Amino acid sequence: MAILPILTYPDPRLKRLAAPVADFGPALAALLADLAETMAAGPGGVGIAAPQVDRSLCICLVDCSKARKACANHGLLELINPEIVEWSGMAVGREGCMSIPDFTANVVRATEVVCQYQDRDGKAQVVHAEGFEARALQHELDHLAGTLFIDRVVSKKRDVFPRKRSR
Amino acid sequence: MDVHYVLLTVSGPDRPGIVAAIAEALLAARCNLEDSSMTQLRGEFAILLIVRLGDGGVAALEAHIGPAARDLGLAYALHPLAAGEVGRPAAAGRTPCLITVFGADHPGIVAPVARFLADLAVNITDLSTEVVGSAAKPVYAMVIEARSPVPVEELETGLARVARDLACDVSVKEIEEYPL
Repeated sequence: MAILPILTYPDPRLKRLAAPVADFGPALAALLADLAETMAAGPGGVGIAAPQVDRSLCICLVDCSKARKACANHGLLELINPEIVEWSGMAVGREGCMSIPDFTANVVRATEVVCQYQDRDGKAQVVHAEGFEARALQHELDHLAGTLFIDRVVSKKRDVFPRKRSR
Repeated sequence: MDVHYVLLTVSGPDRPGIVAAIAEALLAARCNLEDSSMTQLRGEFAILLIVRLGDGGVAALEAHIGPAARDLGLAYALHPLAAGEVGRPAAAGRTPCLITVFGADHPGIVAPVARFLADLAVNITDLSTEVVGSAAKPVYAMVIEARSPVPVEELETGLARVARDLACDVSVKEIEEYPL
């Protein structure tokens, strides 16, 4: 196990499209262990995607049992070749990312998602997540498509103030 | 004092091209525009920014900002900062929160709210106010972002008391930050 270095913006490698995982052998297990350790060492500790550690593969980890505030969660999710197949609801939340240190901004996310994925043995799985876990899933899956939360910012700060009108 | 940074404020009648002209002047003076806040307030445009000085120092900055400001009818001021003054304040142990106050416009809304927060050592990090609604029924809207050393519930209870006296509606919510 090892804590892997995190790529940080504007590293162009964060913008790559990750490749699907085909090999579910011991190398995958080793990478999952490293990802878990690296995630745990981060400031948030609840999510990580393989492209963040320069492995351009469709793998991410989400563990909302480690969230600072208790929330509905499925514990550690090892998501391989994940895909969100259903979305509903909308909420604004202020996100940060290990790959963009010291910056947070408001991002709109679905409040509930259904995600299909394969587990470490290649078996098909489905998870229905809501709230913070749904947000974390969407954030981490975005990394697999080379998308960062800064691509989805709706406002840096407030979002309740009336828009300025031109009179 | 070893000056590397200045706080620059610029303001004047709003029109398109103010930001471009100021940014070009800074670039020409080989200064670096760092953190900034720029906004339209009624018919005025106000700029607050931290500038890292180039080799030409304050003199080069003034030589370029002066004419640019004059051309656009803008007032400006420079406040030198020592390198040690431009660090980011520690946020540890403070809860980020968003406080909104709405009510019929009347004098004396900001002062009591801000005094209440100050007495609890709540640090206001951003504040905006606007008079909205019709001319006959003006509504005062204030949005504050702050970092609070006391629990949000305590702010809520206290601010509810302040708001009652002001006949305003107040809401306090913790800004949840999701480090992912």
